Amino acid sequence: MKGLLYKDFLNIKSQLIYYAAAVLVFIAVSYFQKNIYFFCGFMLFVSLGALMSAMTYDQQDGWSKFAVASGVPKAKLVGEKYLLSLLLTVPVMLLGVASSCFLKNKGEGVCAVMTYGMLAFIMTAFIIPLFFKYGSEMARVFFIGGFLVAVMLFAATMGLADKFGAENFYLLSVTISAFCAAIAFTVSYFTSLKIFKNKDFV
Amino acid sequence: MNIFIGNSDGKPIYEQIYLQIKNAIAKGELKEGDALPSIRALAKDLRISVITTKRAFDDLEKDGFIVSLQGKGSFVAPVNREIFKEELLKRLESSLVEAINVACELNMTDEEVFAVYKLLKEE
Amino acid sequence: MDSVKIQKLNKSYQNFALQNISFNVPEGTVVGVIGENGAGKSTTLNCILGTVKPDSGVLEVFSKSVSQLSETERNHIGAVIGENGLPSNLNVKQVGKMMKSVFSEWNEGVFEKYVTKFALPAAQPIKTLSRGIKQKLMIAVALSHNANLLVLDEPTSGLDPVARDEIIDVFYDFMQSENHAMILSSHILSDLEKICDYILFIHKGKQIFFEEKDALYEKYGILKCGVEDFEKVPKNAVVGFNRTQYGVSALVEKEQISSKYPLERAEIDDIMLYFLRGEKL
Repeated sequence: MKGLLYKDFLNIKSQLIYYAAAVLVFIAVSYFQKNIYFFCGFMLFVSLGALMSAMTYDQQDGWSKFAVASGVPKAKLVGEKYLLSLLLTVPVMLLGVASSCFLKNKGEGVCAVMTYGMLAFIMTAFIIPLFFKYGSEMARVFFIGGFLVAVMLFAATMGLADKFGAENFYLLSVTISAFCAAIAFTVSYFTSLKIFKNKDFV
Repeated sequence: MNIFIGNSDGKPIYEQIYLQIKNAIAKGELKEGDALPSIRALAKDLRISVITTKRAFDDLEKDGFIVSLQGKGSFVAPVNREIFKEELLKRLESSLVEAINVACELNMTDEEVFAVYKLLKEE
Repeated sequence: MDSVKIQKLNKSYQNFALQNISFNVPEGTVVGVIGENGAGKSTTLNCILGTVKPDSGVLEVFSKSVSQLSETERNHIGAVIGENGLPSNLNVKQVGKMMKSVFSEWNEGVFEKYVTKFALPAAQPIKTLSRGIKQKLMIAVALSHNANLLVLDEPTSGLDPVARDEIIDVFYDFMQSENHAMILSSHILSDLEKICDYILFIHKGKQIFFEEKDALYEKYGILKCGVEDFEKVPKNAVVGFNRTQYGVSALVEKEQISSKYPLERAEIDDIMLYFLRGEKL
């Protein structure tokens, strides 16, 4: 999958540079505002945005059809997108975790970053098969809708932290979301593979 | 060896190749044991299909003009001059038959026909 | 051995159906596929390449069902499907680098050779390249992963005659190996007339014929005569005819025409046009 990743990173190169700069800006904002959620929301945006961008380039190039015709294994073509998602999200998550050390409420910061990271994976798990099946437009609709829903939902649940006892809540929240993300990723991969295998590339 | 093929004379291309190689052998341009190009190299040079060159070579082999050795290629077979002589003789005979028929239509005597023959030969 | 074997291939879409296509591509041969746009040529080629799933039929490449080919075996099939498919933001050099790990059988040296031979610019993004150069790049890529079979959908459209000649040369070089095979669709019939051993003619999803190219020239001829003479021609000898105020021209089966009528050689595009546009008796 090295070659496929190479292609994707070359395609979104300029975007990533912009994102990297913006991530740093948002870290600064979060620091000065003492609110990690600015960063978290943007992390979600970057992770999903960059992935969708890469997939859109593939769609415009007609790459999938050519790759399948040339005999590139479908499992590789599908799997690489999941790997790409990990590579785009994990570094940003780590950056976020490191930054939360500067905040007053470290626990909440780490929890928020980790959980938003998992949320990014869960949304990715929906977006990738949608993209393969319906193309970039549908995926974009889901992205925007899902993004708003996710952010609102999460903001609401964070309010529950006080009720359960902070430490437990944070641990629980990260664990549950990580578990969901793992399952979502797995199910999504096999769904995407099935879509790919049954698709007529016209 | 020169091979020229074209679409104008109506003969199938494999036949043109067959005839030209056969003539080259008859004239001595190709000698016994000379190697012929592979069917694929010939197809490429003449811009035709492999099946066409293969057919020409198969016919040449069938008629004994060339031999093909597995893995080595095709070579000119031992030349039997008699075959070519026979063919030319046949051509002469059929031309003469036609000449005789026309002479009969014109009611020419043998001497008159021979006079025409001598005149033409000097040209 | 057959490089490709197809029996009763069927594929339906909403407005179109490929029906009972049956033919094979013997090792060492070139099959040309002809037909109008939308006839089903691309669909047939896509079925061979696995980008379209057939509804039914036997579809074998290298004597194995297409769906069961290993990655290495799939690498041995080179594909050119139009001029698009490669990442258009990358340049030729980056494509070469990328393909090294995409194809298990990628041959860097061979690719470099074609880049030089076709004079492909190394550092310009593919999307800025002309159609002809893009086409040549696709062909270079298809030839650089040890292909034994080339499946090409209109590989020379968009190329000028000089470039086409270069490419046909490349195809001939590819066919110097006895175990190589090619199947290509093209509207540029003069190219097919050179290199093809067999012609597959598809029209509206149906197979009109699959014949040895040389046999076509022996089977068909063009008759040009006056209307009265045309009346005397046996009906089932005529594939299609064209009547003008100056006479009739018709594609006929040579065998059934008496030798007193001189026949012109029928080229592949004549055969196709008379089949499709000629009036029928």
